[in-house]
Amino acid sequence: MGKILRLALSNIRKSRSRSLSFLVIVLIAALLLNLGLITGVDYAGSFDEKAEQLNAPGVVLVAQNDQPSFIADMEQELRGDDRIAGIETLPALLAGSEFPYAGGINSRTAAFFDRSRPRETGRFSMTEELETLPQHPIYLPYLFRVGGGYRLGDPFTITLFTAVMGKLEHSFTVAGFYEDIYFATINSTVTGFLLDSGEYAALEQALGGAASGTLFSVNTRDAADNESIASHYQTTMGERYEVGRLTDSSHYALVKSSRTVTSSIGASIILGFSLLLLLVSLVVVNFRIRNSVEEEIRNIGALKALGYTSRQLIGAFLAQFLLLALGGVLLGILCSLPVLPGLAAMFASQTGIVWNKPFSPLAALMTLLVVEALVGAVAFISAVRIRRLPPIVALRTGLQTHSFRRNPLPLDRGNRPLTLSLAGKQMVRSGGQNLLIGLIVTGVTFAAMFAGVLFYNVNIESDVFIRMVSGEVPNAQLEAGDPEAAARLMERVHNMEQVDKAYFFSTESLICEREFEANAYILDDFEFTGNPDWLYQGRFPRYDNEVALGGLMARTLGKGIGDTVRLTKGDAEWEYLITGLIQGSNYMGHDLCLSLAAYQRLSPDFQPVVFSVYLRNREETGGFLQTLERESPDRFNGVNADEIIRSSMATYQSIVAVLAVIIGIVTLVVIGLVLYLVIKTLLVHKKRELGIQKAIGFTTGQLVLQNALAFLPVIVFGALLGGIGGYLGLNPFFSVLFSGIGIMKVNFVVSFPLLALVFGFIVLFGFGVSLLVATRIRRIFPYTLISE
Amino acid sequence: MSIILLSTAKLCKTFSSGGVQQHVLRNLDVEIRQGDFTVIMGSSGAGKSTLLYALSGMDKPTLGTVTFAGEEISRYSNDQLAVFRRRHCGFVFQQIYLMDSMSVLDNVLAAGQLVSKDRKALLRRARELFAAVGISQATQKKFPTQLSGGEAQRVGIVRALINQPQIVFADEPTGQLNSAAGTDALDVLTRLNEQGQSIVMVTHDLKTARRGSRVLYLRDGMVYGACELGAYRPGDQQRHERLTAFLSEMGW
Repeated sequence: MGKILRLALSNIRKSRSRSLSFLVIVLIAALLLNLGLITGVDYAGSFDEKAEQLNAPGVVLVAQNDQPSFIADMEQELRGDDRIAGIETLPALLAGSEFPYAGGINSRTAAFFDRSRPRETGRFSMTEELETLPQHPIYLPYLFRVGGGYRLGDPFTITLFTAVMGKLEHSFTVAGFYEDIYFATINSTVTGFLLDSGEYAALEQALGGAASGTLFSVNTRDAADNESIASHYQTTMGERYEVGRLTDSSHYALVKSSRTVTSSIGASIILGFSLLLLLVSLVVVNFRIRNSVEEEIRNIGALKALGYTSRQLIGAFLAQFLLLALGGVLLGILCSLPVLPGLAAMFASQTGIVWNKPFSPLAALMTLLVVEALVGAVAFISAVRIRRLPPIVALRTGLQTHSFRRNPLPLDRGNRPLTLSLAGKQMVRSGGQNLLIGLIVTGVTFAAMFAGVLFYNVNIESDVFIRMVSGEVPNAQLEAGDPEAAARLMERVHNMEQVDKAYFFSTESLICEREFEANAYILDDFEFTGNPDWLYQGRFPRYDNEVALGGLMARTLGKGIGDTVRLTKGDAEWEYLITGLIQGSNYMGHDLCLSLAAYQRLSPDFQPVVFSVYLRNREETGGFLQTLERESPDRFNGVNADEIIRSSMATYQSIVAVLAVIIGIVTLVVIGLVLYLVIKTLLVHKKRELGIQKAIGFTTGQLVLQNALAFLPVIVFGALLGGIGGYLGLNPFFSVLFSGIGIMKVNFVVSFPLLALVFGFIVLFGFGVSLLVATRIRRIFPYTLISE
Repeated sequence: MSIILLSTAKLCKTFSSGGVQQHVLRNLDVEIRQGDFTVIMGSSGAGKSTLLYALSGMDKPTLGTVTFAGEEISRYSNDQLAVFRRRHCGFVFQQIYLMDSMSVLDNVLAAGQLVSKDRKALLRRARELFAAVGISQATQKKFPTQLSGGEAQRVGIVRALINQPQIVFADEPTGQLNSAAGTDALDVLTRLNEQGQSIVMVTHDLKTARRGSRVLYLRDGMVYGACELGAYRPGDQQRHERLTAFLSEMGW
C-alpha cells in the first residue's frame, strides 16, 4: 500500500498544475452536488420539520361567516367525521386585498388574526419583532422580509375590498415577522396578517362585519385523507351556508408543494448541472490516465521489469485520482457551507421558511460516495490496459500511438498556409482527445443555452413565461357585487374605447374523480381567451358535457383527450368528455376549464360576477380602472391583474438571474480548465516535436497559433452542436423540468440571436484560452530538448 | 583568403544547477570559415555540443559574442534566432529528431515551407536532395519509425539542406548509427563539403573526425589546439597520421 501511495503521490507531484485543474473541476461538481442534494433532500424535509414544530394541521378551512350557529354546525360535523382527530377554531377577518410587495403590487385574499388568541393547532411563530410597539402594529409573514423588501418599523399600507364597505385603505407599521405553514405565504390563495387585539377590533369595526369569518384548523388521522377532506368540506360549506366568496380550503400536501416548488426546481437545476460537471470530470479522468500511460510508458516498463505488478501500477493510478477527487470533494463540501445561507435566503424569498442548515451529513456522505465511486470506476477502466503491457514492450515504447495509414493534409499538395496545414494535421491525429473536448464543449454550451434561455424568458421577455405559469392573464379583472351588476358592468366595459375584449371568467373549486380537488375556470366564451400557451393540446370545451383538463392532473389520472372524467360539486356529479389539456402552475396543475353551461349542470344557480378585460394598450390599465370606478354606478372590485402578476414575478426573476449567472460562470470555468488540462497534456506529449520545430526555425508565435488553431474546429463544432441541441431540445427539456408544477409544454423563445451570442462567446472564449495556454510553448527551448 | 562566416569573441557559457555553477565555455575565440568542414573534438564534458549550439543560435551565451556575417546574433531574441536558424543553418542531430507524426516528405517540406512559398520549387529541390542521398519516392511516403537508422539520418540531412543553409551543424551525426550507416551519412556530408557546403561537426570518433578539413580541440571550455587537415582524401595515410599526432598531443 505504501508503494502504491508513493507512486500515486509522485504522479500527482509530477503534474501539479494538471492535478490542480482536475481537483478544481471536481470541487465545483461536488459543491453543486452537495448543494443540490441538501436542497432537494433536506429542504422539503425541513418544511416537514417546521410543520411539526408549529403543529400544523392537515387541513385548514376559512369561511366568511362567524355566526355561532354556523360554527357550531361545522364543529359538530367535523368532529363527527371519523377521519378527523381534532379541530380548533379561530376568528378571522377575510377580505380581498392589494399591497405593495417587492416593488410591485400583489393581490391576495387577506386573513387577519388576533395574535393574542391562543392557537395550538398551527402555531404562529415570531421570527423577529420590535421591542417597543409602534403605532398600528402589524405582523407580516417572514416572506415579506426576505422577498418583499420589508424591515421592522417600515410602513405597510394595505387596500381591502369588501362587498359592503367597498375599498378601504389601512396603514400599519411593521412590528414583526412570523412563520406559519398555511398563511405566511403569497403562494396560496390566502395570506395571513397578525394584529394585536386592539388593532384587530378596530379593523373589524372598520370593515363593518362583512369580513368577519372563521378559521377551522383540522387535524386528520391519516394524511392521505387530507385532500378529500379539504375539498369535501369546502364544497359542502359553500353549499349549505352563507360563506361569501372568500371561502378557501387547503391541505398540507398542496401548501407544501406550492411553497417548496421553487426550491425543488432549483435543486433539480443545480443537481443536473452538477451531474454534467461530474461527467466532465470523469471524461477528464479517462483522458488523463490514457495520456499518463502513454507519457510514462517507459517508466511503467521499468517498474514492471523491477517487479511491480500490474495490480500495483493500476492501484497507483486509482489512488492518484481517488486522492485528488477526495480533495476536490472535501473542498467542494467545505466551499458549499458559506454558499448555503445565500441559497437558503434565495429560496426563502419564495417560500418564506427560515431554513438554517449549516451542514447535512447525509448529503455530504452521498456526495463523497457518488464522486469517489464514479471516479474510481472510470480510473480503473482507463488504467486496466496496463495489464496487457509486457515490460519489454513498454520499455521499447510498445504502445503504437500513430497510425501508418494516414498522412492527413500532406504538405506537397494544396496551397494552404503552413500553420493551417500543421494545425489540421494535429487536429486529425488527435481524434480521441477532440471527441473529449467536443463532448464537453457541447455539454457546457447546452448548459449555457439553458441558462441564457431561462434568463431571457424570465427576466427580459417574460410574457411567455407569465402566460405558461399563470394561464389566463388579462390586463384587469373585475368582480361585481351580483350577477345583474356584473351584466351592467360588462355592457359598460364593452362600450369603452380602450377595451379590446372582455368575457366572464370565474374560478370555482370542485372535485375531480371523487379524489382530487380541482380549480375550475369557467368562461362564457373560449374564443376570447388571450393566452395561446394555456391550451397546449386539443381544443377548449364547446358543449356542456366537455372539459379541458390540467395536463398534470390528466397525467396523474392516467387520462387523455377522448376519455371522460367525473366532476363533483356538492351533491351533483356529472361525467365530462376531455377535449383538451391546459397548463399552468396556479394550482400546481390541478385545474380545468368548463363552459358556463357545463358548470351550471353542477351548480344550476351559478351566475358569473367576475370577468377578464383585455385593453388595446396594457399601459392604460390603471387609467381604465380609475375611469370605470368613477363612471360606474355599480360597486365592483377591480384589480390590475397584469401588474400583480408581474410584481409576483420579481422573486422568480432574481432567483433565475442568480442561477443563470452561476451557470454561465461555471460553464466558462469548466471550458477553461478542460482546455488547460488538454493543451497542457498535449504540450507535454509534444515537447519533443515542439523542440524540433523550434530547432529548425519555427517561432514561438507560429507554434502557439498552430496549436490553438488545432482546437478551434472542435470547439466550433462542439459549440454548434450544443447550440443546435439547445435550440431543438431546450423546450422539451424545460417541459420535463416544469411538468411537476403543471407546465406541460414550454414554449420559451429560443431566439437565433441568443444562440449566436452563446455560440460566438464560447468559441471566442475557448479559442482565447487555447491561445493563452499554448503560450507555454515559449518555455520550450530547443537546446533543453537536445540536451535532455 | 577564406571568408569568415561565423566568429566568437570571449564566448562564455555557464550552467547553474542547485546553486552550483558550471563554466562550460571560457572566453572562447573561434572562427568558422566558409567552405570548411570544421570538426570540434574533445573529451566528454569539454563543451563541444555547447559550443556547437552557441555558434548555431540554438542557445544563448552567458557572456561574449557570436557574430554571423557581421551580425551579432548573440543579442537576438528567441524568435529572431528561430528566423536566423531557418534561413542560414541546417541541423543534423545525433538522435535525428524527425517528427514521428509526419511522413518523411512532410518532415522536409515543413522545414522548407518555413522559408519558401514556392511549393513546386521546394518539392523539386526536396526530390533532388532525396535522390542525392539515396532515399526513394516510396520511402518518402513512409513515417520515421518505419525507417532504419541510416535512412532516418539521411532524411535528417535532407531536412538540414532543404533551405540551402550557409552552414550545416552536425552533432555526433553517426552516434546512433551502425558502422555502415554511419559511413553512408559521412559520405553524404563529405560530398556536400566538396560542393562547397560549410559544415561544423561535433564528434568524439576518430574515424568521423578524419572527414574534417580542420579540427578544433576543446579542453576545459577553451580551444586547446587547432589542426588544419585540408580536403578529405580517402586512404590518405599522412593526413591520418597528422590528425592522430595532433590528438595525441592534445591528450585525447
